[in-house]
Amino acid sequence: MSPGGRSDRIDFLREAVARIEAGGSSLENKGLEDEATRAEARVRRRSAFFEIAPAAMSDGPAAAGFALMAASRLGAGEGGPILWIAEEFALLESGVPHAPGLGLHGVGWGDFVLMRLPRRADVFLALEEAIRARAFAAIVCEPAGLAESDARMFARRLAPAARASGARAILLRPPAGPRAPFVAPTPMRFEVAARPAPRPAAGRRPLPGFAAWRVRWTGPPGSLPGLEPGSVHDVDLSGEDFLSAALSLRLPFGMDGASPACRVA
Amino acid sequence: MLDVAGAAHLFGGEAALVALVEEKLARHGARTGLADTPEAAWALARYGPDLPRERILPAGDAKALARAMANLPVAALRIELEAARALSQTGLKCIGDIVHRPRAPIVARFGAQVFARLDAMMGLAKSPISPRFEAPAYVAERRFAEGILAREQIESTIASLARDLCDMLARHDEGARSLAVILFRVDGVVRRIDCAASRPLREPSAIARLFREKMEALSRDEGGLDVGYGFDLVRLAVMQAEKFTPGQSGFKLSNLAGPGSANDSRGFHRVGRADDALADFLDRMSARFGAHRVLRFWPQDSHMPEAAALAMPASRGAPPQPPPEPEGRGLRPLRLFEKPEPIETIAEVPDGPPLRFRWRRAMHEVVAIEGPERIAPQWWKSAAPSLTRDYFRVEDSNGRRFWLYREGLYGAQSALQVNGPRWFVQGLFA
Repeated sequence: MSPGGRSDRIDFLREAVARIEAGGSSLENKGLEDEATRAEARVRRRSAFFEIAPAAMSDGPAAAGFALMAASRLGAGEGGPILWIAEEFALLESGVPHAPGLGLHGVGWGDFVLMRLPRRADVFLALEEAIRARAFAAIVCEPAGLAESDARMFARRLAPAARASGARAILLRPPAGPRAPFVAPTPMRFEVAARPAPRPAAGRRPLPGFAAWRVRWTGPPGSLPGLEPGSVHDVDLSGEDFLSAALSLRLPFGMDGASPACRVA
Repeated sequence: MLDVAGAAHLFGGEAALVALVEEKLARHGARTGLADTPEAAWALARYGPDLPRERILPAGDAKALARAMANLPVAALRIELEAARALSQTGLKCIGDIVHRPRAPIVARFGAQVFARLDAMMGLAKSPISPRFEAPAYVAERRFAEGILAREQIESTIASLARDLCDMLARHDEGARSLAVILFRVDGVVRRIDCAASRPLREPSAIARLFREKMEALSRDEGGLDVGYGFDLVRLAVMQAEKFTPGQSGFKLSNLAGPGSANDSRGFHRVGRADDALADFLDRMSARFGAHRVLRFWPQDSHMPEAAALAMPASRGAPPQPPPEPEGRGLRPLRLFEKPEPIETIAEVPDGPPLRFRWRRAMHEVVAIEGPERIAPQWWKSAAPSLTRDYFRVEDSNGRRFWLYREGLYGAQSALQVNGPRWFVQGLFA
């Protein structure tokens, strides 16, 4: 292994770039691009309130990363920072968002505001206020725990408010568990699990990949064309297929022309 | 009275600080005393030895404090003059004379104040220092013939005072950054409520809204204001004012580069509204939940992961751009534990990277690893010794990614690592 795996990583990036140059991006096709634009507009119009839950408790960081990436993509070009509202206990359990690590998900230091609140009621009060404020590119709400009945109630209350104000809010839920299936009445809802990312080989053991997820879309039938409820999609920082189809979202890297060294897998 | 706890080293130590204060105030004939309790410092300054260095007592040394106070006259207890004179006439001239005497007869004859002061002087009873607040820049107040009790009345009074205050601010072309409402109760109790704004405020409704949020928070956390028999004086003060430039709120540098930019007045207007909405939201939430709960990360000049970003109140504004990443620095995790969690590891060789590790009672099989990235302790910042850390980015068989570190080095002899290096998980990647 080279020091820090740097040359291996560069080789891996070169291979990735060569593959893209040889095959071309899916969005190069004009027809697809138009379709993606239309889908994006549709998604933005209809789906202001998202729910993301980890498949298991240990997939919490993966779900948080997916939520942050979705927030950065949904809020791109909207102005204002991303607001992360978290219950104190959730931060103790899963860790505090780390500013130097936000860049990998397309979020700069100045584009991030964190609210750490002691009570769940405060979290939802702040979320409601933030939705009405129309000041944020996107809002991520992370309660420490949430009963299914409460989740439905909040979704019913906050989804119309988000649609009315044009805000993009993401409820980052704890895992539902086998006895409480993930069935909140939100059209855009995802169950996220960590997935081994494409990774460069180096010596005896390969280097870890970058962010990669296995996403199960649990939305109601017909709310997103081409996607069946329960369908599972593999997403990572080097792929666009699922996001461009489901959310019409490009990925953070390349959006701001930033150095790909720490952004692309 | 100055509380210099933790600040004396900035002036070269306590002796240097005392010398500096005496030098600056020499023409006023000032004498200083430095001790663990306000009463002892007061007594030393007035009745202590002539040499300044003898009026500085060592911190945390109760015996030295008792020795130094024993020779001072009873008047140094800051008791009433008659009581001090009466004590002297009975032969109790020094503090040392009364320390070990039975308390009951002295209390019966000279009052409870003597031993209350003595206990405060010796650090046996609390004696807080009442801070002197800065004089406000602008003040508006309203008096009432009878005390007002209802929260609605108090809020409407604040809104009315905010209008008066904003007129004053407008005359001086300033806006309020820091405000305080001071409520004077009929029975003499004073209650103060502070609020801060992230931009100069000159809008009465915004000021009233801030205090409404604060009152809401008070009623939630403390059961509301203790109104007693009511407040007969409500004062709204601007503690800190800044130049107010109306055009400034509609200006944003990023607007110059993008669509709807410099030439697009609508773009300016829209961005200005968004900025105002953001500032308004941050101010209101800071007032309601406390500034320490609405945060932005500011880059710090430190390579220690936990110190690389400092969470500051968002009302201080947007943080500066972080410095460019140093060459060869590894990826940083999305989430960082405030307290790294210990793990058990199994490695092929003692100083090798882990093959598997146990964290929160679950075993993780390592299938990919990057590292080590060595981070040495900041010996130039802290006198306390600490250990070198070797960081590893690790992926387990389920695709979960962790940021582990090994604290300490194999073979190194140190009192900090008696049982060899230890492993921790400090962060989690998406």
